[in-house]
Amino acid sequence: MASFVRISTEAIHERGYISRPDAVILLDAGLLELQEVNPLNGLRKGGIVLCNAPAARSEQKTNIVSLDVSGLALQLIGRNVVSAGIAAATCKVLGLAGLDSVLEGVRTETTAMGLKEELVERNLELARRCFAAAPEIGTDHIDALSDEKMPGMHELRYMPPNLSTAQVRSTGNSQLKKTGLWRISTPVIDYSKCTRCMVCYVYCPDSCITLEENLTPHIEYDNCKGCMICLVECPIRAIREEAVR
Amino acid sequence: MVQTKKMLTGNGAAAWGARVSDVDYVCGYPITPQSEIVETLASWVRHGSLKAKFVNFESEHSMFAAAGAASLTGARVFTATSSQGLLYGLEVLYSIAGWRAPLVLVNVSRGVGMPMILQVEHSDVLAARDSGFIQLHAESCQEVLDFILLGYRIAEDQRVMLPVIVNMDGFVLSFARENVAVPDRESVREFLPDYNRPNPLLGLENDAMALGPTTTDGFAYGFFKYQVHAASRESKSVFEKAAGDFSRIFGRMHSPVEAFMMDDAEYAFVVTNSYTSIIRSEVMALRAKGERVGMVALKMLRPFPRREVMEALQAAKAVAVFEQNLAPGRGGAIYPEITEALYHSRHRPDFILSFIGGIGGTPIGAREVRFMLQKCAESLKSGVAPEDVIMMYGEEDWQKMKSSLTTAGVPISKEEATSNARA
Repeated sequence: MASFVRISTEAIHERGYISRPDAVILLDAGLLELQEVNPLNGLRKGGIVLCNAPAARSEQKTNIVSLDVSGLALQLIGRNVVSAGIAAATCKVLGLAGLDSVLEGVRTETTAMGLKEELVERNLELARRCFAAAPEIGTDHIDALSDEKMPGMHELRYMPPNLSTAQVRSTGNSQLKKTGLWRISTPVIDYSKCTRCMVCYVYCPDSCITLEENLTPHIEYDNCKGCMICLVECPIRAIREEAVR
Repeated sequence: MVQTKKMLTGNGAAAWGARVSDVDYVCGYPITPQSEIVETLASWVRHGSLKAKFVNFESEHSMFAAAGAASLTGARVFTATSSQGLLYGLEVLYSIAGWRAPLVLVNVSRGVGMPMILQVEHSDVLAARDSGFIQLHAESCQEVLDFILLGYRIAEDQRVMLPVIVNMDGFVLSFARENVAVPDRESVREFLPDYNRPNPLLGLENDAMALGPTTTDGFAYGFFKYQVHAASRESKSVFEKAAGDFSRIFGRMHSPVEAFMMDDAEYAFVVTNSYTSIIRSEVMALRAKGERVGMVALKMLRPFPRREVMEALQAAKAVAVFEQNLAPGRGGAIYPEITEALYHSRHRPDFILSFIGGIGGTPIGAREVRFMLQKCAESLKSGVAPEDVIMMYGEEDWQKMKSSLTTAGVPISKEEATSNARA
């Protein structure tokens, strides 16, 4: 999912997608590996990248900021909910707002969502920690004039119905999309316990579990989204949850 | 008068519009990108911040039927839908108008399948253009809220008594947060008096009546149909009077048609809904370079503001009608209405060109505006109008389309795939 923000002290007339962003904020660094997403496409010269990535994978370059927001969120909130932390880090990195404004915003938003006071406090703490950890870079150095020329227009012409009806003929192409990249926890089968009862195979909503001839199940991690339905359904708890880190 | 600035999505603005209008009855059925409106209202009703009855239905068809019936009892009714939902309940819209039930329906525009899409295209709301509903199309989240207030005011006016659709673009407005001034209920009450229906349907034994009877002959059908038309025509002057009061109380002026930088304009763009903002900024940029361009934005689609359109456009040399809908076999649905409005003008433009773009939420910008201008200039020079509507489609989108066709296993040949770039 992609969303866009324009911030100005003057009236904004542009609408919709932003094709030449000053900054790209990635809530999951795994998105960088998805070619069809290509999240940095169009980033302006000198543009800023802020991404939520595990500490081990963090790299600090001039305009690239990596923060382990998920790690902090798991520690403080117990779940991988990163919005408050990412918002705080964004405000600091881009020089958009001070800590007080950030905390006021986080309180307003989380309260409006109906969160209990204790959870609101934990989100505020996440925001404080991320704000403190993020460097301040600002946007003044970004070259707004470096925009490339847009490609021209294409004249659509008649094509025969055989080619111009919406259809997918090459079945199985969903394998091309490695949906496993957005997994935040991984189911792992303990084969010393597994009784080959096939329950996990039946319940996997994405058909990511295949069976050998002797009914031994195998999880295909390229496409397993980590929904953990197999873990819940396994009658003898032979599947455990491991974090993707 | 108190107005509070809030950062609201278009959906949030719609919910607030219903809330400050003090609606009595809200009926809903979820559909993207509209669901947030009825979810927000349902939550307010549950927590008591909105004193209204909320009912979730099993389909848009029964939802509209209930909305119309509730309105006939004298309740102020609000409902919302989008795309397939609007079309699923379409026949009921004609009934609601015929019942003269003055409810407000927010439509969040989304393309109509197939192929399925969630983003904006106006085929949904334009399919309802002949239902008898008044139609107001919003450029901004603020206009969504304002048009709901204006909508109830004109709908419930005793000279009109017709339902209103307020349209906003899916995603571009529905999910985009903007600064919206939300008036308090007291000031809204000054603008919008209580809904007072003569002979409300109350179900009392000694007050029995039948509404919406079958007419067995054309004389009755023709009479009632014409009355819906005549009341719709009447609603334009009611809108103008209401807009005057609105401006006095809330400080924002609205009109059925906005003529922007049209003084001495040689070229004019006609536009509706949220992309108006984009074309507005491009017009300002072109004016800054000395180009004599302007824009005419339609905020009211029904009744069709024919005279205002004619007055705004007749002095231009060429007009580009930009639309985000495609009626197969015809082109843009609004284009013939603009052309007809200008036909009997003594000084009509030499050329009126029809452009389609931004359907399915495709962005437009300086490139598309310059392209439309160039096509108008070419027609003025050559004296020849294009034979068909001009579909604006970027070269980068064509590259993506070719790649998608390949992935989908559609054997597009080299010849077919050859880029047919426009000059």
